[in-house]
Amino acid sequence: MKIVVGEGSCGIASGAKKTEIELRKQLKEKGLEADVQIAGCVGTCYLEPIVDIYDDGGELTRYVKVKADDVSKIVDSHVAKGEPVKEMAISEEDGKFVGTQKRIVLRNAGVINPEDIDEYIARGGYKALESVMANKDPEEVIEEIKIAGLRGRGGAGFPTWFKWNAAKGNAGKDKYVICNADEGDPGAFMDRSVLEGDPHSVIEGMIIGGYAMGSNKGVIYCRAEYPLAIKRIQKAIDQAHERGFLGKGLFGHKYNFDIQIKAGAGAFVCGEETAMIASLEGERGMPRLKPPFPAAKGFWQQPTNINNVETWANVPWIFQNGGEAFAAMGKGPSKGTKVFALAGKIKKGGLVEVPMGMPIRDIIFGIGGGIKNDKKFKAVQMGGPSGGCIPAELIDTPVTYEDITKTGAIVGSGGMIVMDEDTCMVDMARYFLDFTRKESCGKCNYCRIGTKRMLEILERITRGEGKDGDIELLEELAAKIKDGAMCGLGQTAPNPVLTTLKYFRNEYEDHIYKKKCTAKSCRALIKYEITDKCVGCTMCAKKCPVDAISGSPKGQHVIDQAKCIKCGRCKETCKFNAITVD
Amino acid sequence: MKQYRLNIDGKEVRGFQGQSILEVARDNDIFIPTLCYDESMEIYGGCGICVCEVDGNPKLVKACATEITQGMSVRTDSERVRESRKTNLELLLSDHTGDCRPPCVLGCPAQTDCQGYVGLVANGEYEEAVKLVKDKIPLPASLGRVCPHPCEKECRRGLIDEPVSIQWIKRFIADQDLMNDEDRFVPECAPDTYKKVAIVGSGPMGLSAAYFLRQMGNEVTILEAMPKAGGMLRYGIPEYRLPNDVLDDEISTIAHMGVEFVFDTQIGKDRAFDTLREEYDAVLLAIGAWQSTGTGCKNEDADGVIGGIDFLQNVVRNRVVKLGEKVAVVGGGNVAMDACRTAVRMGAKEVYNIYRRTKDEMPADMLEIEEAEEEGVVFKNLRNPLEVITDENGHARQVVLQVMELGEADASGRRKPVPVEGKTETVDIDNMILAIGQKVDASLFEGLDKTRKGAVAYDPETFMTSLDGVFAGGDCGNDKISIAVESIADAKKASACIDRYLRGKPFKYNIPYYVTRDDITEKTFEDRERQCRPEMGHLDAEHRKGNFSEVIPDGYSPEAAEQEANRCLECGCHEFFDCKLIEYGNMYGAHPDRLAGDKSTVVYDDEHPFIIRDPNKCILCGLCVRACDEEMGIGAIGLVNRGFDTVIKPNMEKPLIESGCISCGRCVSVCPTGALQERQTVLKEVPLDTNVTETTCSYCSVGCSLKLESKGSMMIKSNADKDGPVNLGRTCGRGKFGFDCSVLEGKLEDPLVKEPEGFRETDYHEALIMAAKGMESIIARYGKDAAAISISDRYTNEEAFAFLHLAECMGIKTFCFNNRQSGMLPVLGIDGSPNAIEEMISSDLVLVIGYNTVDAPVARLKMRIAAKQGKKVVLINPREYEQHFDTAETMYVDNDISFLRQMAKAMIDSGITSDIEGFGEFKDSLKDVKVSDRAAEIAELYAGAKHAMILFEQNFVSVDAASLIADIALMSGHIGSPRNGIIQMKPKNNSQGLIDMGITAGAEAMKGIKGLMCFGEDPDTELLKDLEFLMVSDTHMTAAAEMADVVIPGTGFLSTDGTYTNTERRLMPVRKAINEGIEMANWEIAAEIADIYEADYGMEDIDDLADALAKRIQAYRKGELFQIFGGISTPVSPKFVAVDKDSKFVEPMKCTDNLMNMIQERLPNPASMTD
Repeated sequence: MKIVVGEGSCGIASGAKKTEIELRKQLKEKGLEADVQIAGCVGTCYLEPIVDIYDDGGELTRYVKVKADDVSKIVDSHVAKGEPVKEMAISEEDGKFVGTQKRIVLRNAGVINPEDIDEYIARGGYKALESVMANKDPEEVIEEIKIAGLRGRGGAGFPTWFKWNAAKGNAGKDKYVICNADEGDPGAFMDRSVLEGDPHSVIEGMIIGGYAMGSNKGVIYCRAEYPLAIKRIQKAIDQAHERGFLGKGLFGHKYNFDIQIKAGAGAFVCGEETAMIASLEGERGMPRLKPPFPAAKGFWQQPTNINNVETWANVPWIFQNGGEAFAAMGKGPSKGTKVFALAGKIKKGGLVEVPMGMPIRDIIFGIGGGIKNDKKFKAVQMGGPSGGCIPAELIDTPVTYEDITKTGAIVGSGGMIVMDEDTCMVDMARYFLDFTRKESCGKCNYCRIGTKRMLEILERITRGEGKDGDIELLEELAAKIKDGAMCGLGQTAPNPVLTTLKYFRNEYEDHIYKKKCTAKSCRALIKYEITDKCVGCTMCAKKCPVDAISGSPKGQHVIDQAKCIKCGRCKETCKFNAITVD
Repeated sequence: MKQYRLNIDGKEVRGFQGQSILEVARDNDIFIPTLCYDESMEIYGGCGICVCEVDGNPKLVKACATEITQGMSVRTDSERVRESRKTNLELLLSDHTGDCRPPCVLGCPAQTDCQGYVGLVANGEYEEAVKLVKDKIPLPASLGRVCPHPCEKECRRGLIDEPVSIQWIKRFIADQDLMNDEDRFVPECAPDTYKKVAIVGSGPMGLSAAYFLRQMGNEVTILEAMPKAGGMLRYGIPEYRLPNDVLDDEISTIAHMGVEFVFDTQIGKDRAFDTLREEYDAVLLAIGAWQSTGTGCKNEDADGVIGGIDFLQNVVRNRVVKLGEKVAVVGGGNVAMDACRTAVRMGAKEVYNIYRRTKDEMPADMLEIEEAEEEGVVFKNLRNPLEVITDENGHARQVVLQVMELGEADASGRRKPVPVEGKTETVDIDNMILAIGQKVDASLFEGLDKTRKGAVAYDPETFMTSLDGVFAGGDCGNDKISIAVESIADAKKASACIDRYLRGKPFKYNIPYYVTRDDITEKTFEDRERQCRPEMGHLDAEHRKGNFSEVIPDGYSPEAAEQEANRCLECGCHEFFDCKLIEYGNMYGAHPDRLAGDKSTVVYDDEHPFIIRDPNKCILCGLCVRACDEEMGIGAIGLVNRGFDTVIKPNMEKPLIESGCISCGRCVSVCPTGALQERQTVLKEVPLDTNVTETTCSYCSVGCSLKLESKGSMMIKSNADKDGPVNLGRTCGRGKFGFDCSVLEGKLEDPLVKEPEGFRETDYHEALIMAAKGMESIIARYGKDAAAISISDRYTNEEAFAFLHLAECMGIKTFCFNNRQSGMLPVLGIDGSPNAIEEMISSDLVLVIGYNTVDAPVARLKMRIAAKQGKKVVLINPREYEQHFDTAETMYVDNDISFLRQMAKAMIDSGITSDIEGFGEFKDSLKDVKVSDRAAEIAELYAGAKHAMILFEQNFVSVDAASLIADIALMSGHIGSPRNGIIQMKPKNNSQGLIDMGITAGAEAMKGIKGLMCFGEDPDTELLKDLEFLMVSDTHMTAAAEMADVVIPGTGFLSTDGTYTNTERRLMPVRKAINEGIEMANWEIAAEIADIYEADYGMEDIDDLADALAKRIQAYRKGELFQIFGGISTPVSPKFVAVDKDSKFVEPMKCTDNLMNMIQERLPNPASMTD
């Protein structure tokens, strides 16, 4: 019997480590034999900690939300007697979350032990590399990637073969292959999951890429906030060295390749290629002008190719299964699968990997199970702070680079933040802009000051101080920032504002002209009042943190508007539905 | 290199492959603005101001970073480009804290540069101050007397004690100018445009417009209805405030410029308006507002009721004014006060002032009100005339006044007077003067659109009326009756419009934008010392009320004016005239108010002796950071934080002085705004449009080209010249901040002679005779060999030659204490660098053997460039002289010549041999040397390099070490050809020049000297102690001067024309920037002494000296500026010289130039930095 505890960062945060310790303790105490392993995240973060039990016959039972206290029951029943604890196992409904996905990038995540290279090898790992080195010359490798139609999963969706080819064609003293693991989008964590759950897939992908481009040096630029990922990649690199997959003379060929990890200090802008290179070189993480592109002059002025974690993780699969198999998935020029991080007002949040082209509806309502508390779906923010929102009426948009871009959003790194009727879209735009303007490196004026000014306008609108002309000013600044900012961060920063203005302009107008927040979320524009349904239970007055509610027991209470901070506690507390907000 | 054709803004141009759009545009004089680009640094691309459109590219591209391609079509000034730049600039300006211009300037309707002229007065620069005032105010002596000075209302000094008395300072400088009868300031006029302008009216508007239009080269005629010019200044303002002779003097300057005046000619009556338009290319109506308006009270037209202006005019014109004993003057403005006080002076016994509100609301100057009261005027405030009661002849006898009270504030913010029902007062009067206001009578100008009130209507942006070519302004237009300075402001703007109209250009006037601060309060200045204005003498009331003598007879004394000017708080940004941000902001019509929001505020504290930082003016262009890091290799400052909070700070957030800063000031020079400024040494720092002099630095022998900024005799700042052939825009702290050492505190101004009790000031005559006689007696007693002249190597070639020539006239020898014998000379036969500094960059190896960065810092920058371009640079120094030498290899050895000997031995061991004389002895002298690996390695590197250069410092390394270096070069063959040779860094700017003219001896020449004339040197006093006579000429009281019998003031390089010969033997120009205020130029001292000697000196000026010098020295004969004499030098009868094995490697010599020592002392030591 094999027991696997999901120990990605999400699992550990939910208490998986404690679960594992308890499990081992109980097994020992109870004298039971089982092979306890760990794995990365399977993607169903909302169900963590997850414990998978493989019976000797190979049959899998998945237990979810297993706290340390729950362990004894499972051990006593399942491990000791071979009787699965049905009520603790994953529900059929939740089972669909993974079941309906198409997992390529996440093929091993949550399944294998990321700290054991043999588990990776057992699932076909490094076979692709071996066969590539044996059978393909670099041109053929690039051709295969071209056939697969793989595009950069970091956000821009640029054809991978093209970048590889450019880097291959540029000669230099050295040549670098870089893995961008500086996953900076709030709400996106697919790269972390891959690095924590299946680091070898990235390493194998990089070696294949290095071979194709004629590079001997790989660098993984990982944010320092991912200590577990860094630890596991390092372990994986060491193990790959031991097996001769890294180092000198791979598979008996003349080819050498090595990888080092660089920890970045976690600046969003360092996800931008040139800023990342500056950071790698020990400079302040600020973008440099392109051209020259990194493919010509990148890290230490040498030809450099940068792909992100998800892109690299796709590579071994492509060579295991053939480019055509990859290209068979997807829609139009958007091939293969894409991992999305589902978050926000969604029932089942987590990582989902689906073939490109799947309609958003199927992801949110199919895999994600719909909106929390069955509220009304309003919009989904795609592509993080650089992306845009897609409104309910466009929910059938297929997730391809082309279709999503048409809406004004972007596929980006795959963040999907679901919003319901309680989300104020102006406030939402404000939130994302606040993020990007804080992360601006400060180099170009449009980004440094322009985003700040846009934010100030949004802030005053949400404060109820919006003025006639503000929308136009936002539009003007947005257009000019897109045109004038130096790098992708600035050029995309206005997107959340532009898309909300496109689809929810009325909300902006309501804020400005009617001084009303339709979602009842902007505190300055709402007012709590107690109606005659009040029975004088006094609960609201007790809960009010600022003593703004007064009234005698059994009499109708009143809110002192001057004192009220609009926290909404009273409304939550009232059992009689006597408190309205408007 | 490939050449491309491309099109920029419709112009076909060519450029080379690899050039950016910006570079090609600049090469073709096409303007593209940028705030972060500097050709000497790597492309940054942060500011985004240089955006352009390129056909086929949907995005805007950055011109600085976009390489040209064949057939490219670029638009640098399209609507989209302009819009992007505009908003970009607005964003920058919206986050910019400061006052582009001070509140006083912005408060002045004419935007007179108050801070500028006040500051100039504080520095004693009266002439420059007058010029500056007269740029905006043609009648400063008049305005200095009568202007209600709105500037002072804005003056922030008022938040401390009382505003700076800007008006009185203006009067002071204007009076100073008028006192210079012969030499008054008259502005220059541009070449004739042959366009004729008629100006109708000679009041402040007409006179000023004439003044400005004439300066622009136009022919101007003023047509005046009255018999004299001046308008209201003459006929509306009584003489006790503005004496006629002052006004006449100022008008005469305008006449002197060539403006024609035609008097007693009223247009529409004496001359037709139509013909005027036909005869002139443009007409300006400046007729003012000459009709008094009434109050609307009953019987206002009674006999004895007069208009205020009519009354004042009649008094001025000496027309019969029948005034009774009791006079009531209605109105609260200055005209009313003038009328009251004139009535007093005309003999009225009782004068009442009747005004609807209280004194506090009176528009008249408080001073006028006070003086009127002193003169006995009775103020009947809160009264309004209801009815004039007449006698049987219809003459006014009484006036009934309605009693008023103050009600609610009205639109103007003043409380509105309302009648107290039924309350009146009746006053006996003989006359009533109505000084309520005036209106325009433009009825004679037919066909002209008028305003509702009958004034002349014109477009406020162009000043043009409804008739083409007819302009108007001042009081006669658009219903605004105002003060003189507003008319003058109109005159300046209207003149510009008219001039452009005459030239057929668009002539709309745009109001410029300025960043202002609104966060200054009394609290800001809490810690300032209170200092009130100096008093101004007034005639007391008894002495003045019976006559029209000027009430304030003598304005400020110079002392009082300077003291008062020093109270200025210097609100306006000192970098205004150099600020690219505001220049571009206005160029693109930025209105940042629409983007107003938070401003980043950085609290900072810096006490750098030369650099002022103001991060709140920083636009984060990164130029300073890059200059410090990329160019200088220091990296003392860097970017901190992210987003809007990004800020540039010194290393580790320390004060700048502790950050590793070497005080080179390069950051200040590249800063496009006022975020980094020079801390100036003038008494009062003033933002000024300066004069620029291109000259050469007078410190080390590199020869950095400098642009010196000055105004009058003030030295303001120095910047390295980008076109300087040696320094290419770089300089060290001495060039940047040491330019004005010769005029700093303690400067010698008068000759001194030593008496038993100490020095006594004297005149040149006595001092020079004593010097000549002193030397004569030494020669008489000891012979000519006992007398000598020492000449500093800081002087220009011409100055040094003047002293040399004097010595020749006297038959005595010359030398320079600062001259160390060249160790290279016996080996190579030349005492001068055979090669140029620039050659280091293209050589393969540069060996720097004995170099102390502080002696010639810019040479290090050249070595850096060489290293950055992949050339090998190795520094070999004694251990005590570790240097910050990034990008180069460093090696530190004992302070003896063993390492050099090892290198030489290693080369011989490797088989190098020579048939040049002395090689055998040389080889023998090295036979016992044991070669270390390191020495062998360097020797191999050097001997094996294709091209190799050596640089050493002559006054740093010992003579023997220098000989050995020459031996090594000679042996290796790296000598005498391009990129193969030696740079012998001379100690001073003109050390080489002295050698070239034959002043080759050093301190050793002092042996046996009893009498010395020492020009500009401050040697070790030990060397002077046996002298029986010593004359010293220097800028300051040096230790040598203290020992002298006669001291003659000298000057530095600021006040002379001439040349230096730098260490490469390159002839560098020196140009006069200012007058240092010293009576006698350096060369003249020599000429005068020669004259006393009755020698035939034969030099009348610097040019004579230059000619004589050129005749003397072959190389200088054909020498052109910036040229290297003779190109690369080849050895002259070379010979190997074996040196004493116990010699030291370096033996630094103290510089004898007191100015060099002074700046070196002033420059802070950089906080220790290691490589």
